[in-house]
Amino acid sequence: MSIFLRLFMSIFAIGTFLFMFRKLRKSKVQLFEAFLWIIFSFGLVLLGVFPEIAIYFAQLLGIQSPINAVFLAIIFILIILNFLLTLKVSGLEMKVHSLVQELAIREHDRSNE
Amino acid sequence: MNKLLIIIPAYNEEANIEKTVRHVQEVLPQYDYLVINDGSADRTPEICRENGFNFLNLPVNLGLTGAFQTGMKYAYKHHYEYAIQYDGDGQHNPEYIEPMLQEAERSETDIMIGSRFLQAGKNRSLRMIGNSIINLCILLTTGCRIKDSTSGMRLYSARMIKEMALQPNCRPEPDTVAFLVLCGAKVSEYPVHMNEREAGESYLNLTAGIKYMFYMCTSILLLNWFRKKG
Repeated sequence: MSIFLRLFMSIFAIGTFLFMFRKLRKSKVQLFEAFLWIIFSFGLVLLGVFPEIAIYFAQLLGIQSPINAVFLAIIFILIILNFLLTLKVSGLEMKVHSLVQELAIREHDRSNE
Repeated sequence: MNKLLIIIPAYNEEANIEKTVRHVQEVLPQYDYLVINDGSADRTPEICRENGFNFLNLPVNLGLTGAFQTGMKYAYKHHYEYAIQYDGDGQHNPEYIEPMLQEAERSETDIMIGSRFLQAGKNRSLRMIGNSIINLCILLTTGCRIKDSTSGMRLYSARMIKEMALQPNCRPEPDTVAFLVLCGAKVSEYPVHMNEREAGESYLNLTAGIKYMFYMCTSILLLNWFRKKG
């Protein structure tokens, strides 16, 4: 892996980590989600600074190029995060439905009193 | 001036809620209580209505955190000086609330924890080992020595009520206590006795327990450092 690529990835990963860190601290986010993204972006920083990790796992799994191992790992993690997001959104949709229905029924009952 | 609000979150507690609230009414008629029906599917709201209990209905189940925060928002809105968490299942004893309140006022404590282990010893069950581990995490990160961090009987001052009503992520759990200490809260303990649940840990409880321990320790050791203090 060329030194230029290493530097490039490290700077980008650190930049992403700092960006996420600041944004998560400022906005009102649930701790669990903030935690996941912090861990994920920190993992990217580790990979950028120590590509040996990627090289080791690539060799272990028989993947020719270490960068492909990085892609594999990142894509897998994004799939998981996406899935968790789907679960969350689904739950929210159901809660909103419940609220809308409850409001409608209460308003109707109140106006009929 | 409203002195104390006793917050009683209840989810599917039809078996216990009447007995629990009546007990509180008998022992502490001078203080207000509020039952928070957390979207129960059973007869909890009907029982509250039939008995004329003071209660709120959450149309959707939010879990203990959401239900408890609702109580805190109510306490904040109605300018209560103190608010206390109280279990709807009858594990807590209302007799300790008055002495806890007096001690909290005397020592200007922000969070008064009803501690089971100040005088009595702990038994060696898994749950108690977990309790000790969490106590240790809190000690390491805040320097505060708490003997019963997972006790659900916590009395909060007006300052804490405001924090918990307005800030997100304020679960009624030990990691929030640790976070509030880092924000400058004063924490004390008062010896209480609680009615234990029946013995026996099922398989399900073990996995849930481990998940809880993992999340609590991570929250106290890592996330509290990350959260904005204000």
